[in-house]
Amino acid sequence: MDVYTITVLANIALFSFLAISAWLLLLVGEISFGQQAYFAIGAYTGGVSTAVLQLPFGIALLMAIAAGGLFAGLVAIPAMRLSGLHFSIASLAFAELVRSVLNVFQYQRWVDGYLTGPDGVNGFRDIRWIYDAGIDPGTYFLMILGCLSVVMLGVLIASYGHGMTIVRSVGENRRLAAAQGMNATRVRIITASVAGAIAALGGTLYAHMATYIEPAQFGLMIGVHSLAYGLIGGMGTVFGPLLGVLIDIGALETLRIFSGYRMIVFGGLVVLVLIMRPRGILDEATVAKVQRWLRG
Amino acid sequence: MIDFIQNIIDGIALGSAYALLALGFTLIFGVMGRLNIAYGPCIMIGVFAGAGVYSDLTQSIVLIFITTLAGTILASAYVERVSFAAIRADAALASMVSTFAVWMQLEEIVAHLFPARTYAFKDLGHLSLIEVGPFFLRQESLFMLLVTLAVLLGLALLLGRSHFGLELRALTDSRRAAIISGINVRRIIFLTFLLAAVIGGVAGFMIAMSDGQVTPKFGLWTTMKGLVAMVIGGLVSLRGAVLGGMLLGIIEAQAQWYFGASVREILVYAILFVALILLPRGILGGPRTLWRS
Amino acid sequence: MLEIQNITASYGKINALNGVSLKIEEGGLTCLLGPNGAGKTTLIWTISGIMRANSGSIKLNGKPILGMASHKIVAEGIATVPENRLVFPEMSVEDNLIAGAFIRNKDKHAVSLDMENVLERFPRLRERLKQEAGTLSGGEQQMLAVARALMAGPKVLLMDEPSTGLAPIIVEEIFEIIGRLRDEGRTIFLVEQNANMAMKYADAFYLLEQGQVTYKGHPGEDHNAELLSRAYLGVRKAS
Repeated sequence: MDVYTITVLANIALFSFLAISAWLLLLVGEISFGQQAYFAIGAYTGGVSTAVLQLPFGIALLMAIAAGGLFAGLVAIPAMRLSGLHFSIASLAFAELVRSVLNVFQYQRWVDGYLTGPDGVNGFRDIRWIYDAGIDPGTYFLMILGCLSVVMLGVLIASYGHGMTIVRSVGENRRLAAAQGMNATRVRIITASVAGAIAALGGTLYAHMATYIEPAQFGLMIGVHSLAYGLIGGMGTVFGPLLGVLIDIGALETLRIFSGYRMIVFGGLVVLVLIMRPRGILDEATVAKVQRWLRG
Repeated sequence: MIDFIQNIIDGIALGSAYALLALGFTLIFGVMGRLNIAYGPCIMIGVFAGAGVYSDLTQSIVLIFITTLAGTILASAYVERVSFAAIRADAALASMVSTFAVWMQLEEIVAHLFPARTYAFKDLGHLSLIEVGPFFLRQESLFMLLVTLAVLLGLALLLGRSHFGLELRALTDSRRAAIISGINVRRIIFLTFLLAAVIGGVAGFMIAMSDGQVTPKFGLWTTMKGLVAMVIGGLVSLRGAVLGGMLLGIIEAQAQWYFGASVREILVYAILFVALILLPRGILGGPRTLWRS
Repeated sequence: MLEIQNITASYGKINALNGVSLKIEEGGLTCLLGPNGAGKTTLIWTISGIMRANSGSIKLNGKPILGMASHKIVAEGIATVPENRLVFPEMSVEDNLIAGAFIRNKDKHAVSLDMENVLERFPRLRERLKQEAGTLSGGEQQMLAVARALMAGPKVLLMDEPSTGLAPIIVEEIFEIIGRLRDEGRTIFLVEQNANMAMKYADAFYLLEQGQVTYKGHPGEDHNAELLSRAYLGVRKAS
């Protein structure tokens, strides 16, 4: 497989982390325009861990996940008191806050004779752990895929147990869920934390592939796209957000006819889906039908 | 102390532009209960249209103004039909996401038609500074303030004295009661969108003239400023929107002076975040009143 | 005057109205009784165009109005006094009344004449003309809701449970007003749970149970006790 194809596939995988992150929050009843904040936090945490602090990659991943989960949880605690619209604007605000803070965030050390580390607006280069370790793009892609599979497996397992049912119940009708004995606030905070951790994982994997990150890469449009993936692909299953990413990056990116008009087409698609199928292509009804058909 | 007051003076000028932006957001939110995130990008279409005719066709302020308004109104009509009219009344957040999608579209359209980093816009020429004691007043600032006051006056008359104004207030007060009373809700919503577009077009024109240029970041910039001002003002109150805009302008001017542009940005978003959490009803607190009769 | 035939309506999968047919005669008070959840309010929303019916027909003086936009239905002459009043809480009493008048005419002079007439009927509202509607008492809000509907100059007045949440003395006052409107020749369709009060003034009855009309009658005939218990409790006497 040539490098171009691997890069496209890797991008699809990486954005899936963001898409799943936003999708989880959608399920629990919140619309977040700010998951890119945790993607960024993961990217910077992971990058600093390997490039500046010279820690092993595995540790960097864990630190990124922890940072994402922690920040998401901390933001969720006050934000969960807010109503839908307020929460959405708050998520937007936090993401832009993170981005503007990263614009002034400097943490540089001399490593092997080079000044390494985030340099505010000028970005953070030389996140080279993967390349220095001799891992080729194909292998790294498999690593990314591995992490994504673990995440999706986790969600699927939760779907068979009580986890996802609780999440969806809270999403459907918070008061009803509470009346059934579920601690709606706790469920939402935990879901937000997990979503943040997933986004952060994607972020650090991204940082190590791109080797260069800067605050401008984590803008509002990325966040909106992540949200759109779940909405278009479908809320019924974790494959929904994946489908959304495939449609955007996979089809629209590679089909030359759309080149240069990708946002217009994708935007139009989102608009149409929201009018006609508010729960996406793979919505709960469709998923239920497929499941029944599979059972024969 | 002198700096502080000078900053307030400068801040009020920009703040008046923010106030108009916040008004547009608030009007739409009032009648629909939904946020039009594509408001900024619609204004961006307007000012780029104005920039377009300025460079090629005309130097006339009036024509450029009309083009700017026309662009904003057309884009807003598109948003209204596609993101609001077509979506069920109870799917407020779907509408909001849809407006983000339209934003994507509008940004790309502008990027295609206007690929350069910046475009010249008819400006006010070289105006001298007015000195009032130890303070300086930019004539551009005075211009913005006067335009804003004119718009506010017009809006007050419209809301207080016209049929449309009454129906708008009624719809904002209680959608169900408005339907029962025989008010044509869809028509009022559409007209309110146009009203917000006109106000936005004026604000955009004013800002572009003051800067003498327009850049592709205009859409994001206007949306963020309007949103922050609106949130500070409490989301539903017109008075709050104006107050929020002014306050934002002043805070920005102070932050810029004492801490620089980067910190100013951080401060604005931090304020937005904190304001949402601590003051969900905005700085005026109190009941949701668009406008006191 | 208002002919309703075989209306079915549902909320998602739940059927609220299962083929409702009734006739509202001109110039009288027609009452719809029934227990909670029978579908009375749904019927009102369907007639006024706020809710979509699945099938059936509604004709006003022969003209079919099912499917029309709700503001057009008001223009045709059907005004609603909704359950829980639904006044504009933060607008003045005066503005509330004006808001109700727009559908009829925008002529300022005509509107003020209408307002004069309405305020004659409800002097208490005149006292509170500039007050915010949300600060009025329950009974006053009910009067305002009726007054607002009258401002539209309707041919038919739909009233949905005007006694809800009001003290018995106020309820009597409201019904006296309804009675007077009936005496003046207005066509009124009244939906009520308070069967006692309604029967005092009604010219004809229908009983709605679980989305269907199960009884039709006139006051003074002797099935009234049975009717009352079914209307209140939804109880079917074993017979």
